Amino acid sequence: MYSTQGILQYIIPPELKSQHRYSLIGRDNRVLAISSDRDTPTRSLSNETSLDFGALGPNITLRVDTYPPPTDLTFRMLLGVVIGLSAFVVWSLWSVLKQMQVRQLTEANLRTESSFRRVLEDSMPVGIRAHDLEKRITYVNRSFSEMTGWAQEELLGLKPPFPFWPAELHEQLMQKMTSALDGNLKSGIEGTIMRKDGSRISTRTFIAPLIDDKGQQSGWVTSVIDISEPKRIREELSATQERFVTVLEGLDAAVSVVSIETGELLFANRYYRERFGDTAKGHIDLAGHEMDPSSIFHFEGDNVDALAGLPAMALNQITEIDSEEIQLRGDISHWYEVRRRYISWVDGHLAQLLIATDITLRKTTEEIARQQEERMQFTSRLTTMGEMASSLAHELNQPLSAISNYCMGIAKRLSGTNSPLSVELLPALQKASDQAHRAGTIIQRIRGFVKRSEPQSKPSNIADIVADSVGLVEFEANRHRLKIVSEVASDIPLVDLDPVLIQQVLVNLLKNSLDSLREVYPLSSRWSAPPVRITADLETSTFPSMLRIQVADAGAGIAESVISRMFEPFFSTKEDGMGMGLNICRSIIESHHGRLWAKNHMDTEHTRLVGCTFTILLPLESSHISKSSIGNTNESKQSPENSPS
Amino acid sequence: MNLSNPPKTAQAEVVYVVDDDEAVRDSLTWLLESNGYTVRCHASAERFLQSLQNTDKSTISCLILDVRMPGMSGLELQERLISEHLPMPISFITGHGDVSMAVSTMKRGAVDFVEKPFKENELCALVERMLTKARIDFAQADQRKNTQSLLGKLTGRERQVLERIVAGV
Repeated sequence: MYSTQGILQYIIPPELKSQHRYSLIGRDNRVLAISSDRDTPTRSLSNETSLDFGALGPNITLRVDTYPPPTDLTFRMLLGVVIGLSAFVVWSLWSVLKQMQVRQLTEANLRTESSFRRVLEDSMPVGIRAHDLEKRITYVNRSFSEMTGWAQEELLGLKPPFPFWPAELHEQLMQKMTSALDGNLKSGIEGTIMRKDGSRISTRTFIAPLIDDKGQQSGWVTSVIDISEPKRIREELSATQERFVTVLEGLDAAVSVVSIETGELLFANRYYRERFGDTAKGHIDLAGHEMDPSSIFHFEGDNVDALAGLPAMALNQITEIDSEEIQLRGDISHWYEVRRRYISWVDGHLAQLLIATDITLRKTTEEIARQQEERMQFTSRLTTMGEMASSLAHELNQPLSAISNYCMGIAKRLSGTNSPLSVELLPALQKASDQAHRAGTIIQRIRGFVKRSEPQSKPSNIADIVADSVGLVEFEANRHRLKIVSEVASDIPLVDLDPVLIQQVLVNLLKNSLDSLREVYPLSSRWSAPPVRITADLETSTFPSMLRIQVADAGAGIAESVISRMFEPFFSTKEDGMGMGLNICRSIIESHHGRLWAKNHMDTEHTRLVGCTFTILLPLESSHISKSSIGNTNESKQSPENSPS
Repeated sequence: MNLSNPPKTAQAEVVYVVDDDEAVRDSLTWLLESNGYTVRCHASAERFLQSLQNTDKSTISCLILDVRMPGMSGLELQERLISEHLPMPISFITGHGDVSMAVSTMKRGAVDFVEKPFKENELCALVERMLTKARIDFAQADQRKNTQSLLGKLTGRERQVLERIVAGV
């Protein structure tokens, strides 16, 4: 028999007992036996098994409680170390990761930076090469190899003299390089590079020592700039400047610039200096009152400084003056044409530019031309008056003589009959005839009073007369933008005629032609108007030969109704015309025993008038009006009165 | 018509008038016819020349001519008549004669140069002078023609003798 205590005591091995507490529990939770008195922690693991197998009374339960494991210090420390190491490993891993990220970023930055620098270096027009201490080339950039035409690989390792140095400059360049390497040349070496293809470019080279991070010099860096383009531009600029100055100096006009602010002469060309010296006085005299800008601009509170800031363009819009003709006070022998404008001078201040041309000669010529024109008009008026009287006399004489003739005829016939009527009528008829005759005499007398001058013939050169006539009309032609072309045959001998009168005829015809052209060509198409042609040659189809002068134009031509009447006195197609022009022309030509007529030109279809030609024929020798024959004049004039009655 | 002063000749005598002004032409004809002359008038020098071709050359005639006419002028007509050997006495009448013109016409044989208007007696005297000259010219021409024909009848020897006589041998 076993006691319940003994069961637990002997049956269960002591190893188990040290780890667990076994207890047998009977009915009503009464502890029957217990393997140890040691208490278990309240929350220790426990298990209960019912031992219901007959022999032992019912309801006995085995309960096993586990003792907590034994704890000691070494174990705890070990545990602590293990945990600590694990933490360190984790931190190290994280830290490496972090480091790697930073490194990657830096590398990326470096790559960007270095490619940026490369691009920068390559895009730079400056050629860079590096030398070591033995002057051997250790590096060249792309620009440099492009500049020289040599490839990078070809240049590396070369020592001076370099292949890109022009042969004749070797020594000089060596010297320069040596002195530059010593640091004596700060401004750079101006040199020449011979490219691989033989062409040359001008360069400027800068040399700097190459210092490494320890402060030791490891070589030199040279940078080369291609200055051929700037050099060419500089040369061109200076050539331009020279040309400009030459032109200005050679100009036959005084050019001067005077500062508005100080009145100081800023620029003057040779012509100005010769005429007016080196002072601004001449400029101010020429500029007159315009010199003071405040007299032109009336700004609020204006002053010179305010003006100086204005762009010159703004001023020019107001003050641009085409030109002015000025006669200097104290020197009235010269005329100047003065142009002036305001410019912004090189220093930005307002200045006045003045260009003065000496136009004295032109003025004189104009004056002479004007006087000549006046004389011409005077002669013309006199001739016109004489001619008018003459024409009037002729026109009135015809009807008067007809009246007189009829009266006398009637009287004659009546006198045969002896009727009382005729006796009454005869005296009246006689008186009528006498009165008609008297009227004729009065007209003759008036005509004698303003008798037009007889031609003063002398041997004349027709070329001169044509040239003079054209000269007189050209003034007017130019004003209307028309041209006159003259052509005089060279084989014309001197002709006996009155140059003044013939000239008047030519002037008259030329003016008519110009008027006709003006009618056909309005101002807008005036440029296309063909010139008026005046030609002089010999007409050999007559015997003897005659001088022929023709004035031809491509104007409106002459209307059929006009052509038959245009030589009549007091007939005019012009509103203000007196109708004497062509009449006088014909009279003058007739007094030279010549002929004058006009002929229209038709176009090819004969539908339209395209101009007309006036032709003058003059005898080459006019013996009829030689001086010797003047003696007969009185005789012939007297004869009618002396004739027997 | 009872004309007081008719020209008394067997030969036909004609006064030609050439003037472009119709009134002058007509009145001149009227005046000259009143004085018993036969008048033929023409408006232009050209027409006058044309009519001359159809007339008897033996007619005793004279010409009253205007200086200034459209087309051929009086002066030109004068030259034409001289060059065509139609020697007829010519007087110029003009409305505005000038001295040089008068001189040149006279030098070429014009009988007179008269300015319009003129008096009847002046004109008649002029016409009479011209006709007288024409008659004399005609007679002289006639005589010369006779002489020429008579001379033509002489033999060569007779002509030589005559030349000696004229030479005063």
